[in-house]
Amino acid sequence: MIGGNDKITKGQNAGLVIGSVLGVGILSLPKDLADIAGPDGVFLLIIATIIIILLVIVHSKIALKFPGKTLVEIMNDTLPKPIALMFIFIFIFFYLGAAASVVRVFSEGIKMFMLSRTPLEVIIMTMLLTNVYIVRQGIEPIARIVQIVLPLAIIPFFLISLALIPDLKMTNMLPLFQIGIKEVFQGLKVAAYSFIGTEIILISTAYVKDTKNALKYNILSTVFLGFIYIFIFIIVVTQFGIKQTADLLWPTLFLMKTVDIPGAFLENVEGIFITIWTLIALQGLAVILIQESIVISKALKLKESNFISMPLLPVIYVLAVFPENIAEVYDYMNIFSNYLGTVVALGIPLVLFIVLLFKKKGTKKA
Amino acid sequence: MKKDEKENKNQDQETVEIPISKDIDHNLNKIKEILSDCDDVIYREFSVGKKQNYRFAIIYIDGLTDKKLVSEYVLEALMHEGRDEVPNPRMVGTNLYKLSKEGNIPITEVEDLKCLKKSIDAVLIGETIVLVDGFKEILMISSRGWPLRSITEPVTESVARGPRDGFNETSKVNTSLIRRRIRDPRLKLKYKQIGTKSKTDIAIMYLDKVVNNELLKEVNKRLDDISIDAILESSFIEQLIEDNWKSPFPQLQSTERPDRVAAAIYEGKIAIVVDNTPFVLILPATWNALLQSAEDYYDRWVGAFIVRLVRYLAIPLSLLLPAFYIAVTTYHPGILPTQLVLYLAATRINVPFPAFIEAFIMEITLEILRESGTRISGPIGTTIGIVGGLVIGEAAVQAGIVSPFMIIIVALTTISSFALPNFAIASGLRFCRFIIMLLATVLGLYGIVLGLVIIIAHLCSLKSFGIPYMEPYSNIISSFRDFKDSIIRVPQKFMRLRPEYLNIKNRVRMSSINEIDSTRNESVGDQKDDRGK
Repeated sequence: MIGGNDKITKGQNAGLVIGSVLGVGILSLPKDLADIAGPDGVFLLIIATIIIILLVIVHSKIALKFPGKTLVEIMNDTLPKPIALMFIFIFIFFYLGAAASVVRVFSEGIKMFMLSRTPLEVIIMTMLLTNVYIVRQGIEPIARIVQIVLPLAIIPFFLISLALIPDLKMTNMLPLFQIGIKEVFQGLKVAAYSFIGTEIILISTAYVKDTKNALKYNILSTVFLGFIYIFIFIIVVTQFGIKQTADLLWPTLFLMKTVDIPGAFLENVEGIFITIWTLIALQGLAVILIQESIVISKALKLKESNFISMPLLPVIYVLAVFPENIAEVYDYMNIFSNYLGTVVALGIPLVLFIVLLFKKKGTKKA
Repeated sequence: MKKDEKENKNQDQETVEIPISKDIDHNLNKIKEILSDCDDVIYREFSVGKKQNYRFAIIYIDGLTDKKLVSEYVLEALMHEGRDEVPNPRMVGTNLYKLSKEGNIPITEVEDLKCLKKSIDAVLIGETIVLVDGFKEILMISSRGWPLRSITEPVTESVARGPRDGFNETSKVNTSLIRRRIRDPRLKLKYKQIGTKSKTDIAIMYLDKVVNNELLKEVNKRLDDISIDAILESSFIEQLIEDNWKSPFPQLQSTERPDRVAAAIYEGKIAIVVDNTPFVLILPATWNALLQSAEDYYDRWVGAFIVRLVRYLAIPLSLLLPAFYIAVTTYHPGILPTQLVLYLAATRINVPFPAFIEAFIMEITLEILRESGTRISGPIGTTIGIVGGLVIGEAAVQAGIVSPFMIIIVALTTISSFALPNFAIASGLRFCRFIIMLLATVLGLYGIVLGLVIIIAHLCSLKSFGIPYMEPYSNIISSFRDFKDSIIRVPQKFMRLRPEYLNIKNRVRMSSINEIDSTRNESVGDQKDDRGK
């Protein structure tokens, strides 16, 4: 209202990108990467970060070309109707799947470490209900929430990790440069998947107040993400070694079981870490759900988007409870990220980008 | 409902548009009729002139008016001095009113009133009105004067270093206290009257050329929208113009300290001074601003820096500590050191209740204690403190109803909530504390985090007059500069600019650090040169 405070700032937009990526991406890393690439995963992460920066540039360029317009409107403007509709459906399915997997995996973690006797359904339901409340506030408040929740999660994580430093065996990172070409590509794929979530740029940029330099902020947020992932990877691998890392379900979580802060009030910092875990889950879920709400409401041309997460709740709940155990969840998630994730994060933006390139030429002639 | 409203309107419009008659008796009777059964209204009729042929009357309310002023400068002047001199009868005839106004009543503020309703309003405010026979105007004399509470140190916000004056119940005194701190023609003051019956004076104060005009417009709009019979305290205004009435947290700042109001006005905020209360409203208010205290700026920066950190530590303590106790003892004893867990278990071995009942018993007891203590001060209050604190606390532990650890937790929680400089925020957090305790009972640590995120989400969705409530925390990168005065407090030298979040026009409030340093170096250099000579 006053001075356009209703809008998201560039910094908040970058925060949304980080929150969106961390929420989904942190689940699989660094277990899969260690399994495929061993210590060389560090280099793959660096390369993946660079690739993702290119992707983020593509995302941002598309979004910046249509100020004030979200993905749905962009696609309606540039693509033929049926294709646009199909793409919108893909996005809706993607968000549903992403929300369900985030809820399920984080809930499993909470159940395993904190509430072993509480039914999983209760945890899933409470998490979803909390998120319905958050999402009802709208995208601008969520952008602010992420700004508060992320530092609350990231700063303690780094502080706790400091306590690990004396125990780390740097020799676990050796030998380097041992992987073949095939593993490089497989590993790159895994590393790149942990960055799924950057496509939020296509939606959130429409709400940004002043888009000048927005690209720079987005790139910086990607660099920051790359830094976090590399940090986690190195810490986990040096602590556990490659073999154990690949065997653990959530290496980052187990890492915290091994932290021992001498003379501290809390004997094991698991409690703190599970708090961080829940914080990241809640904000990640909120970011996914608000994107879903915006896409659906724009596609249906509704004025209000914030209530849509309510009718979606049962769907997400059923999807989340559907797999029987956590192994099955990861199987589904692999298929899910392999196909839908690639299409959403890479396929559709590239199609849009190419179409835009050609359209630009067309309009210039005309 | 509608009938009531109509009746109310009729009542309010009763006194509208009664013309003033030339006949003084007619006017007096009208006023007496409207102010019937008001025994505190004083009517004094008297005659003026050598021949005592001009009839006058003054009306005022006993207790609201400075009687000495009225008798010395109105009655004395008209009755005695008017008799001493022999006026030219030709001049007097039609000019009597003008003569008395301009030549005979030596009072600074006078005004002509053309309507009976306004005259009655003036009387009700505490002014004196003078009726002159044969004239269609009524002279209003500013004679407000009632017993004032002297300007004392505010009870709720005392400081070790800093000015000791506080507002009192008279808005004129309060605005003057603010004006004394801002000697600038750009300090604007606009009066409004709100309340159909109370007609409470409200002053809006701001610094022109600094304040955001949209904000000013919005404040005026919201104030004009208020339709209520009476404003008894500034909190009425606060609750009627705030953005979200459902929130447990305050969205306007109220203070008893003129220096705080002046500082806020300098920052580009708006102050609303309400008559009959020492609490002045400042808006927009953010979480950050509500957790600042006046002393933070008077203290040296190191002290203020630490105090700020301590205050922000007190927030999680007052919000989460009992919930944490419940969660840890019921769900996750493993996260505590073994020794502590053993000790905890040993102290709780005789306690017949589960942890959450224990916690609720103690928290509720403490709330009752606090409530009884705040209503009664003095010796009885002290007794309550002793009975409540020592006897109940000690006895409860001895009897084995609660564990000593619980007493520590409750005490720490309460102390923490008093460490917050704003009472409204503390009580908002108190409300949230009970909800989080419930969540911790059901879902342990996970429940606490859920509650915390909901509170954060709520706070982030709040706005105070369009300004996001959680600035600058909810906008880390873009308003990074505002962190200079937030969870930390940087040295005065670096507070060169006014805060960013208010979107004000003129942000510079201090010449740059380099300039200050360079001038200082120059002067030091000059001294050296002098010595050399």
